[in-house]
Amino acid sequence: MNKHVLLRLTIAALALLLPMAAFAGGAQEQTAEEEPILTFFANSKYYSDNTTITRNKAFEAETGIKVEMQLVPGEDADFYDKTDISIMGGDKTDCIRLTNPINIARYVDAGFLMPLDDILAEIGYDAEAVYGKFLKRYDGQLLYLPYEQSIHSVYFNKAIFDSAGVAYPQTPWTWDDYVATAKKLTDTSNGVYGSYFVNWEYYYYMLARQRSICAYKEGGSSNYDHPAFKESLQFMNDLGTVHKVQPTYLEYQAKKMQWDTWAATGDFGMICIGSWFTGLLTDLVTYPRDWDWGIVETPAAGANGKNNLMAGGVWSILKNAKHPKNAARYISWVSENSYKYAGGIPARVNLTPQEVQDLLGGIAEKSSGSVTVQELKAALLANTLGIVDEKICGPRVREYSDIIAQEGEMYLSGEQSLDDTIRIIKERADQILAESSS
Amino acid sequence: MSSTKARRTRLSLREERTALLFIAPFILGFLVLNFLPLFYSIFLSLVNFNELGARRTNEFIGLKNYARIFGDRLALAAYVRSFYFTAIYVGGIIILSLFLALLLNRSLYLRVPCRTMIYMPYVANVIAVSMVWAIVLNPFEGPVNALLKLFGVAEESLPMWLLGVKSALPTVAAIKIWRNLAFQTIVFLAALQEVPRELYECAEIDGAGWWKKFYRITLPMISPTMFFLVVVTIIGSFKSLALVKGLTGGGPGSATRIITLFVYEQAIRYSYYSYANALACLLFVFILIITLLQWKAQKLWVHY
Repeated sequence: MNKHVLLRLTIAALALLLPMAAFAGGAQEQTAEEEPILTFFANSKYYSDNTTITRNKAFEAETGIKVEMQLVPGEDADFYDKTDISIMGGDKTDCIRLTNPINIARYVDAGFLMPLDDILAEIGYDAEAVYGKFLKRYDGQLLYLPYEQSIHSVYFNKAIFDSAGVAYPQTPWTWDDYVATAKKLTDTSNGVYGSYFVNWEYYYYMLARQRSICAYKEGGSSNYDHPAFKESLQFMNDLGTVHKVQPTYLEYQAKKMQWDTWAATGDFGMICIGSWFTGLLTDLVTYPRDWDWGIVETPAAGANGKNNLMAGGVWSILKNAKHPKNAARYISWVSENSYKYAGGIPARVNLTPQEVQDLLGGIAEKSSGSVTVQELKAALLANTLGIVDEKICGPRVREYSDIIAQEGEMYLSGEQSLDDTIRIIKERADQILAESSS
Repeated sequence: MSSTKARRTRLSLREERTALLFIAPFILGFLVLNFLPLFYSIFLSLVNFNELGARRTNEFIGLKNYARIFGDRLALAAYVRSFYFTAIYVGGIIILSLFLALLLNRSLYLRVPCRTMIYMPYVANVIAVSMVWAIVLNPFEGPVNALLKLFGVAEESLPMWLLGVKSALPTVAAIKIWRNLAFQTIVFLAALQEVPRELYECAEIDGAGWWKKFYRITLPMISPTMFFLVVVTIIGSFKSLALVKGLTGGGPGSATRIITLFVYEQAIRYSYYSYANALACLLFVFILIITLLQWKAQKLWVHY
């Protein structure tokens, strides 16, 4: 072969092989002694959140383990779509925070989570003693630690109540009372609405959940033809189009309103949302405000709907984790201590009465005098309401939820009748559930 | 004589080797980045990789994923929506870009700034474009509907643009036309500038008017360019995703859930990887058939 051609071929081969060698160098064997680093996936909002940064620094100071967040752009569904692919591709990130029951179910089903019993035992951590009844096992295995109980309640803007001359909500109350109050507060000429619901699909079936109606029939088909689901969706629509106490669905979409609009604007009287929301209201850097807020228990959905909605976020170790021991230290620390930084109610059974008092006292203190410990306790912990899961849970739950969201959207935007919407949700859900069981 | 021939043969062989070496990176890139994924996609569409993570089985199931498409009314509706979208988009962009190219080909006041303005949307970020249009077309507080109201359009007759089930898809197509207009316009402009002036001068001497010159000279002369643009625009249109996702996310309801978005959701959101690949392969077949039909039909209207 010609000398020059040989030389060119060698250069070309080197040019191809060098980058490959560089990429191959990235994959390192795990050593017995882990380097003091911990990584977890974080979405854009979480990545730049002040409380996340402060909390990570506290962990670093206490343990000497450096926390590195792996930024994954996007929020909620987009975020998990991307992490799914990364994990399947063999990504070695250590931990992930799963924020709702739908994502938890998917990650458990997919086998993405590392069983925790052995690794927690190795670092000498007794999860049962800390989380007790809040722990859930799958085939006897512990796969995650809960870091909060997100209990729903109604947050209200005291300035709007005061300016309308309306008394603060008295409990126990019902959704009829809520609507009546919202009507008194609404003053659209000044851009004020009495109510605000984020456009999340679980609100479309909120009343059904409060009455403990399951979205699945016993045989495994969809239960969406139960009248409670129809009533619930109609209630959500009527708030905007009939009672006119909040923006209609179309206005909400057109103005690109978000989950934090209530806290960011101060233009809405009330919002019913999980207790994680206290984190926003006590973060005056991100959400500066010149108005006080109050908190009361969630209204009941009639005599047979005296339940409150609850969900919980969890921390877990991913199956390919590069630093499993550090990850175990992190998830146990963060699950125990998250509430001290981000607000909310921890899913712990070992809090002493004094610690509960301190927890609520901390929120009350950070609220700048808006709420008292007694008000927080009455709204979140000591009331007459029972507890139900805020979201539906069962087979093909992500698709089922998306069907509810898509068809609900058609009804809320006035493009489809209520009866047709319920019928189509039932038909579509039955189809995917039948495919799932076959 | 024979030694000269042998030298020439060696020379051409050496040149061929060098040429091969130069195109090797492209060939390698094409094989690794295009050809292999294509075959892997076909392979995936024939197995049962329809679960996330540990639950997947990957067993060979033949054409079952393809058969499933024909029983899935949402998938079929998504294909139909893609055809509808393509009809609006391709028709609109070809007509509009040709019109603009004709304007820019004349002596026009502020021609250079006009060209720049036409080109600007083409380099704009898709998500930024989506945000801006969502504000501009806000049916309640947006400037477009405010203007329509000023012109006397009744409140109840104002279009819902991206929020209306019937109006959303044409609106997305219109925004895509606005964004991509520059490429087609520039290519048409280049073709127009290649048409010999003498042809127009002869036609003018014969008394031909503007329409006759356009129909009898311009259109036939630029027909190869138009053919090229129609082919690539149709292919590009069927592959639209980012703008639709940014503008509507497939809504309201499923009004703008075109097939690429449907494929994306089936694969990434619901983990039906094999089914999504079957949908994508079928789309590939549709595009191939349309392109072949165009190739055959070009004899009727393209003049080389």
